Amino acid sequence: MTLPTATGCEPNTVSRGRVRLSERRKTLNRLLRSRTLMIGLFITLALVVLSVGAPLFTHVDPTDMNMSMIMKPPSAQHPFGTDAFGRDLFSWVLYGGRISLLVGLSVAAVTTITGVVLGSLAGYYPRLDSVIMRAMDVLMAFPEILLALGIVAILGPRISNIIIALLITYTPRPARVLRGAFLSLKCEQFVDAARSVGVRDVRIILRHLLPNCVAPLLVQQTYILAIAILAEAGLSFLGVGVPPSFPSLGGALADARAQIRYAPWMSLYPGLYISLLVLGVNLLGDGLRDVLDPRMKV
Amino acid sequence: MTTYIARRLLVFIPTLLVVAVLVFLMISLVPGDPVMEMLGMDAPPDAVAAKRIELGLDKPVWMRLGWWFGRALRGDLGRSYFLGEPVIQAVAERFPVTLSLSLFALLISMGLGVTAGIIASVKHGSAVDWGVMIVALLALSVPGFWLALNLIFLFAVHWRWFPIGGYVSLVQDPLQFVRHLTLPALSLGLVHAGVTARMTRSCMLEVLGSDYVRTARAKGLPEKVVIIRHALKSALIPIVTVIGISAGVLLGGSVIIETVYNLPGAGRLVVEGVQRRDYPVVQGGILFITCIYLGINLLVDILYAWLDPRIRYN
Repeated sequence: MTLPTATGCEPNTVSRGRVRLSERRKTLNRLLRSRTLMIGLFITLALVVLSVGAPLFTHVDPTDMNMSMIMKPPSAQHPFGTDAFGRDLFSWVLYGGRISLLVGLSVAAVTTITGVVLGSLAGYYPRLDSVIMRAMDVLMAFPEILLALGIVAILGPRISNIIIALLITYTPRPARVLRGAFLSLKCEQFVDAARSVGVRDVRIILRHLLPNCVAPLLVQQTYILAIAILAEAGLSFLGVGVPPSFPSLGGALADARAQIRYAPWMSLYPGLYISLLVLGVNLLGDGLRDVLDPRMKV
Repeated sequence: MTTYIARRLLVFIPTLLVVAVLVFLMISLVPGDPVMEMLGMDAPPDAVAAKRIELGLDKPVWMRLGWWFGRALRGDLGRSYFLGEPVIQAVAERFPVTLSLSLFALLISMGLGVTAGIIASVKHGSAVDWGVMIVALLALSVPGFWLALNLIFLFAVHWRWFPIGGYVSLVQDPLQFVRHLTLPALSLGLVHAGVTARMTRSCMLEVLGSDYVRTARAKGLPEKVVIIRHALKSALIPIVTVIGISAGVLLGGSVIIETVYNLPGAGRLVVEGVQRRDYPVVQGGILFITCIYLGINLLVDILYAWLDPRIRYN
């Protein structure tokens, strides 16, 4: 239904608004109907709730050592058993999950910012393109975990330093995705139209181009979240990640390695937690990709 | 083709130089005095000063960069603080282990991944397709080192089919070489097979839906011929790029897997360098492995352009 107006512009705006609203509703419906996405969301949320609400599920301090309970198998008192220092593994895994999530989410969030800034500058301004992309190529010239290892070696093993190392390592991925999207979008008529009525570059980037890149960026960042969780666990496993005084899943697996003959449960549960978390996030990424960016469908 | 190779080399050489400078600067930015690390905090000031002059640390960074660069070009990457041997010798001695592990893992990931990907695409939409994709997703969600711990527990501790760790060279005893590398290569290769399976399936599905495959089917060719002679041939071209990506993942992944299995490889050398703050080793190890990675990618790019001539002209 269109309403008569004096300028003749508003009906169009109203109908465009409706179209946009119905498009959004359609996308939301497709997202809700995606089984992959829903299973991924369920697994991820369940683990997030377990870790964030860890004090609700266990009253044991993960760092509390009990020398009379060294390497005890799973029991009612210790559902995941205990480690070589008599620490409760259930509590260690739940609190360790917090650090995995903290590092993963921080890396995904900060690489979104750096990726958006570098990718949009490279994609929009041809002069900056080669400089930024060559810099990204240099970062991509290193095998990823080796680059992160080198950076952590310089900065020292701290949680903030792992985030910085993974930020530098993974920034090229969103930057390339965004640059690619900008390169194809900036030739579209709506950008020419905006430019011809004198809209400034910053506004074109923020209001016209970026909103059209949300889908591929969201998908990419979901995968970054998954690989950052794996990378943190890997660095902590090597003893150069999260300091040993903090509960970390990679650190727990490093301790388990020495006791694999006598206490296999020590590696079972921390590994299962990381795998489930990464599986959940990967399913989430696949589901988002299938709905929002079907061209990328595997 | 010659022009294409020349153009790729023109990009390769500056990238290599920038990587080398970055690796040098990385280590020069390390907070703390490397001399104090070497001699200990209670070393006499005279000895510290003499060591600083010996290592050239009293000179400005740009001057040290020039010296380091000149030496690196001649293959001299300095001496390890702890091993007491030249870094290039330490890395070169250990690299065959890393290379064997990566190649063995590549064989597993390509063999399993490509086969699974083809089966899934041919049986598209069936239970087999779903099964393959679920296993592939599970594979790429599992940390390689956790898979390694599980394989050790099952096959080395419980059933005792394979050794728990260590390395025997191919020349020394080929059978033991394979026995010692099987579990590490499986730990590295199985995870990567998931990525390869997903990529192969998507490439195959794209080709299977193309016009010339439809034409081949319309001509009445048997399905086997259509898949093997027509579809697979084209789908294998993009899969070559997977080898390039794999090189980085496998060389990087070997850093962790070598540590789990106590393999005396270049990756473990870098990890030990980081743990002991043996910076020349970290510097040399990262530079060496990155150069190999860049070299493999250059070869893959050339191979890709040879297989698909359209690449050369774009």
